[in-house]
Amino acid sequence: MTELFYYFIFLLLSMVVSFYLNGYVYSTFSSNKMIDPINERSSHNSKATRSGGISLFLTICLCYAIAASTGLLLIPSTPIVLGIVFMALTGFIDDMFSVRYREKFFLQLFSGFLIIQGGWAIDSFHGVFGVFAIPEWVGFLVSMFVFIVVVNSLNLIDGLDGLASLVSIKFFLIMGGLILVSSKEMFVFFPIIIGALFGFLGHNFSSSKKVFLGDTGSLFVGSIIAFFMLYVLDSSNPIITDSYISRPLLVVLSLFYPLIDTLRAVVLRSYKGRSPFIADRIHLHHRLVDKGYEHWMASVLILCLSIFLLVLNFLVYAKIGLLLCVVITILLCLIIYQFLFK
Amino acid sequence: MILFFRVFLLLFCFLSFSQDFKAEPLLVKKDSVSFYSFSEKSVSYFRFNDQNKLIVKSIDYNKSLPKSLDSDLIAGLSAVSKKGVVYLLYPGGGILYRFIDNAIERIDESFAHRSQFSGHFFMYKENLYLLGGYGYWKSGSSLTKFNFQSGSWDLVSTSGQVPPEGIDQGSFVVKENILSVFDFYETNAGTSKLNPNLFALNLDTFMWSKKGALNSLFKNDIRRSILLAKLPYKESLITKAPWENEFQIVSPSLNSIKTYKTNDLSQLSNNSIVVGDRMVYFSRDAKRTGYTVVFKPLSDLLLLPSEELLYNDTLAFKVYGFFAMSLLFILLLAVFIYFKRSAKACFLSANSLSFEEKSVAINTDERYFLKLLVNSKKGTIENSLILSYFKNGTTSLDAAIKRKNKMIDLLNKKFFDCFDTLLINKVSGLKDSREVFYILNSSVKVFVKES
Repeated sequence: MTELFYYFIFLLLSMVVSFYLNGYVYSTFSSNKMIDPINERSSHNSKATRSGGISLFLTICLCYAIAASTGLLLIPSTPIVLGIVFMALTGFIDDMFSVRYREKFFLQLFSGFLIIQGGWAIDSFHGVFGVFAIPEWVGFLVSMFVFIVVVNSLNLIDGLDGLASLVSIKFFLIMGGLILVSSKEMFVFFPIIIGALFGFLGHNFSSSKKVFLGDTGSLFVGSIIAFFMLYVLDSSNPIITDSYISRPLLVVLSLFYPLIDTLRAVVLRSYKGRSPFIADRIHLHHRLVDKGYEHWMASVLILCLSIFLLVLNFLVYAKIGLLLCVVITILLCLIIYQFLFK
Repeated sequence: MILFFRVFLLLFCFLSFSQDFKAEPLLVKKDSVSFYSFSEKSVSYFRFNDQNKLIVKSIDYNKSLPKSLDSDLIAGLSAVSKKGVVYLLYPGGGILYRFIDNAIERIDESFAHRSQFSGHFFMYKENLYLLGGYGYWKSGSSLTKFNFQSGSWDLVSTSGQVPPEGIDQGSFVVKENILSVFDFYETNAGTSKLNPNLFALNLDTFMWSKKGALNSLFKNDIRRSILLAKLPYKESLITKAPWENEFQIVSPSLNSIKTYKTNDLSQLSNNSIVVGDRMVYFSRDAKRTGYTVVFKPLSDLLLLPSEELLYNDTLAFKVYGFFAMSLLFILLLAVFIYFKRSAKACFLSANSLSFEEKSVAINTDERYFLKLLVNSKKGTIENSLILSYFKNGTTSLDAAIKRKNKMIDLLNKKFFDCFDTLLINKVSGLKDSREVFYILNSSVKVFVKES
């Protein structure tokens, strides 16, 4: 049996398990009247549950256990698992009882602290601003900042059908390629999480039995994404793309939409004198929907544009360098923005 | 008598199995045809003549060895040579000797600091450097340069992507001004971990850069690395583990690692050298008490190599990229087809018909009509059924038909303006063309929300 065979098996397994569990947990939530309330910010007008995160969590735990028992998958150090599980629990409590953002922020800090204790953290700027190695305490602070930003940015874009899942699938597909070369023992995780997100998408796109990721899902997936970002930005890990593209640029482009949308939302809210943590409909995806795009169209458009920017940077980085890549990306973003929202 | 036999047996065993191991002389390459062999009391000059025969001349040292240099330590020294002068570095760094005019003399004002064991001692542009190494339970990445004036070692500051946890038991290749460093370990408090990257140090600017991920042939096994013979050869490195019947030629500048099969090089060690195109090493004699110099032409060994990339083996990455892009494309295509084929799920409430975040206002007549459509079989209702709703005693049939048609047209228009699709289609009966039916558009599904 080749490794490729196992990758397909785990992709299919997690897809099937996720699809089944999403349906099952939806029915359980639905029969217990645990329905997502419809308010002025809601994008749905039918019965929907916020059970996607729990199904995703259960699917990954189950498939992870099977993969680990076959010896194909390395279990990362305990603090990382604890940090991610803690983040999922925080999301679950938020879904059930609604946690205030200040409390949630401190819980995120705690989870970030646990994950950084796992042994991987940002220890170099990889040439950004001409800086390479950084002191350990600076690395810790920057890693914590990246963790908080990534986890919250995924939480913030979870407002359209399929958007957070599609963006996450893109991220995990890119990271899978990098991890395949640096640590095969961790690679099986990628077919598992991608399959789980596929299974979830089937229910997320459904019109009659709609399932949302909820805070459980967005914080859980967000913390996994943040961990892999720290893994890639840790200079001791070998990354195959080092001679093609700068690591910081690659990770930013892998999660381009959530980061740029969060930055824009925070700047605009602060400019208008509002708290950057209070939810509204200022996000770009909301504006796309207001322009007449259906949810799936807006999600697919955002995904396609972010893939385009990633591929473009990949192709030109070796020729023009980091600074020009950043300038071109910003210019392209402005052009696309003008084109879409003129 | 018994006591005598016992003592005799003990002595017999002791004398039979004890061996007088002599420390191996140190081999140092001089140029492409000659080399030195440093032993306890003398130095031997070896030279290959035109017939490829080895000519040897041994000369005793002019002076006795420096006090700090124990004769057993000679094989453990690191050496570089240039223009007939050999520099010999004490294990762990610090003390430096020079061999010139048949004498070994100490030239440093330093001390045996023992913090750079297994560091790389090399010469670049007439300067002597020592890079990395292990000492005091930790590996380091420091680069020191010997100051010929003061006799001390000065720390050279490097920048860029410095190997963060140090360089222990590394492999090093110099080409022009680039020193490639790979297959090294990060050691801290007794634990060693392979750094799976290839690094390059520019010896003019002292800037480090990371070149990429090493081939997975390099395993995380420091015991193997300690015993591995690493012989500089042109702009490459020959590596061989004593128990393996193959050796590698690693060329960072060509991004190549070639593996050759051989059964002949079992005695190759870290004390072996490559002179011209010959591998030179010591062979122990049958009693294992002495050594003889043997050489093997590389041309006899470099046959049928299997070649791989030293770093950034992109094949797996490219195959994965193809699968990943295909998967993404299939996903997008599936989403596109699913939504193009699936019906819009609209929700009918008391006063609106909504889809996602858009909605159109409806009146009581429209709501009644839509409820009829939704509850009917196959979303089809007869004209007469809806017409009966508009008929009442006060209006004529003509007026009722007009009201019904106006309501349906208006509803269709409102819906089309909002959702770019018609809500209701009007069709004639199959059996009787005078019969008229109203059908809900197949691309729209209406769910009634009970208030």
